[in-house]
Amino acid sequence: MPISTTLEPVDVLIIGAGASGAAVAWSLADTRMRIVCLEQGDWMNSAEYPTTKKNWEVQQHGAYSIDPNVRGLKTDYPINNSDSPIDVVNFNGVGGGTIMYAAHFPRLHPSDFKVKSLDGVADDWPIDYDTLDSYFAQNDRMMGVSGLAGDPMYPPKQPPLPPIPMGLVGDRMASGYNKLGWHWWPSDSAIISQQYEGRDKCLNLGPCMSGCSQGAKSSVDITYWPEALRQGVELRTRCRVREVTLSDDGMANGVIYYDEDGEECYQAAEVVVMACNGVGTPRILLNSKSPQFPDGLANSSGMVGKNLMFHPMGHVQGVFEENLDSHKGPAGCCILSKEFYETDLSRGFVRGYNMQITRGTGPFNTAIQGHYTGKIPWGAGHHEAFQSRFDHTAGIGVLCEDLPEQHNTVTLDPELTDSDGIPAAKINYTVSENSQKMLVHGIARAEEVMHAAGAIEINSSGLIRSAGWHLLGTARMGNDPKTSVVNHWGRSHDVKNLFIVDGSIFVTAGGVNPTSTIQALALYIADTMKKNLANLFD
Amino acid sequence: MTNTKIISTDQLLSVQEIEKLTALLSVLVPPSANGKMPGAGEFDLMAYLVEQGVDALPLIKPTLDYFDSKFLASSFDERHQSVVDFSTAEPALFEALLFHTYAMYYQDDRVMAGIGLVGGAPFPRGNDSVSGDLSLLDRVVEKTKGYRRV
Repeated sequence: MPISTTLEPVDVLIIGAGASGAAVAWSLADTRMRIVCLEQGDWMNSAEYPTTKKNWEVQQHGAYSIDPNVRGLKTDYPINNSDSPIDVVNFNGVGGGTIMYAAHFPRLHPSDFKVKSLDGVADDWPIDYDTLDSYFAQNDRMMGVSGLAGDPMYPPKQPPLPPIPMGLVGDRMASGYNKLGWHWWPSDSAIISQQYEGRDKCLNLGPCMSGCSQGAKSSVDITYWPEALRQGVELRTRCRVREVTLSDDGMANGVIYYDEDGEECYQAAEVVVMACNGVGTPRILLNSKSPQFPDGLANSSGMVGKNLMFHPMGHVQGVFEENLDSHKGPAGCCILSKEFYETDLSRGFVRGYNMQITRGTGPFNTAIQGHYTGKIPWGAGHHEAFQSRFDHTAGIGVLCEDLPEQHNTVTLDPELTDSDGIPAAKINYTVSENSQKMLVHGIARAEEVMHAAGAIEINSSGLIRSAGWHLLGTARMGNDPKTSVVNHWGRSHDVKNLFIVDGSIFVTAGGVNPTSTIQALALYIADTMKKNLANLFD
Repeated sequence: MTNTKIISTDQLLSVQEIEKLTALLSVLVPPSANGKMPGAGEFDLMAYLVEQGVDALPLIKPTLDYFDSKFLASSFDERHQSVVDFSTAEPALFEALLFHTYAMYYQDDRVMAGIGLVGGAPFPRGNDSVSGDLSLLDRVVEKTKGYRRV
């Protein structure tokens, strides 16, 4: 079929306007190159976010679900999770996953970059924490991060804003950790606790994961993108990339995409930057087949789509006698604990996990989740059970480090497609024995904390299915082209003008929410590109 | 050709069906003993669904059809047992009914007031949250060994 529209070539073409695409666009903007970003979704309108309406909680189960298969928007692509115990969750639009993330913003630890050297498993990254240190700080300033300096579990760092309120939940849980003598610290949060760069501080609405009406949550549509656009970057929405095209000399020379009307367009480019995260990026690369790359672009190693890492997650809820105002404040940001983050082989597993204290839900979600868990009956006794739980709970998310395994994959589904007919992603994933042991250990420790904090009832969930936020490792970074897809600064080993800047280049996953590290990586790669502009393709 | 999407009357249920639905909702969420919390039967589920849950409207008639005419004449305990039976026999219908009943109920201003909240959209009102006691960290700084050096 002939391509209906061919557009003037650009210098840099970025695919995806989420966390990493926005950061790299902003950083490259000062080169004055012609930069275009293609995003399959729309701009968001905060006036339409659920918390502007009284049915805000119900919308989290439909149009504002974190699960693209539930949302089913035309701007989403379906994902076949049938061979995975964890469902992929994401968002497609300007801002990407940051529109619906909890904004919990810890960095990877120094040890996370040297897993092979320290613990004899997986691989070391070709870069280290120090490589990213200044980019972490730059990203914190650009995003607007609140936190407290002095956490002994990290090298020195200074969040630009004071921590968000811990609330009664934080105080209660902190007392539990103190009783046990375990580490805890106020979470670094990509939520502004004071006025910052024209944005007003957090109102403690609660449900950050359905979009922030106040604009206090630092999603990149309101942080990086306005700055990047001001500097001349062009962002085109409703442009869904099907494939990256290749010239005879083995260089990427553009992309074919579908516009809002389903018209096939061709955008030529000197440099292509993939920023679609750990499922979207391998999906496009695998769909970009050519005689040079019959198994997908930049895939001579066979590693594109392999080594998918989530963070297997469990949850422990404590019910407390006293009112904790649980629904007030950012749901996923409060305090965290790194007590069990580093390897201790006496625990029966290698590596470790983060404990993320979470607040409670609103009334409707309290009632319906209480029904699903059998804790709040319908009929007689409903009100009493409801009142004993609503605003009386605290949670601990146990977020386990996942190690790379080649059999955990993103491939192209042979049948399922998106609304433009592009093959959907198929996930094949199993939770490793190491991760299972870690999860059991973490849940038991979280229960201990709840006891110490004075919970009168403790409810534990094992592996949570709908928690596949963190999509990592499917186009890994490395020095060896036989075992990795990109080099130590994100450039494809195979295609010298193709860069990847998102979570797919993680070598290992660490045990924390990855957005801070993804963005620091994107800034580092952009900076390295700028330093090497004269010989970018050598 | 008949367009089945055109609603030819604004009366979606018969009088008896409305009575049955009201009784059913009152079983799902009865009023509280202290009178602070209304029962779900006091609310108009059909109006709610027309406004916010139109996809669920076709589920109401088959739900009501499950319950025969004796349902209205039975005691609260008997009605409760009938709903338990319904939840087993028609789990998908039951779950949809309960979901929308709770969704309607926990948006209502009277219900919000009963649980000590203000109704309506959370934004721009927001919430106050206590900042927390950072002195609790003294013990953490004292005890934590520090991060793992590379």
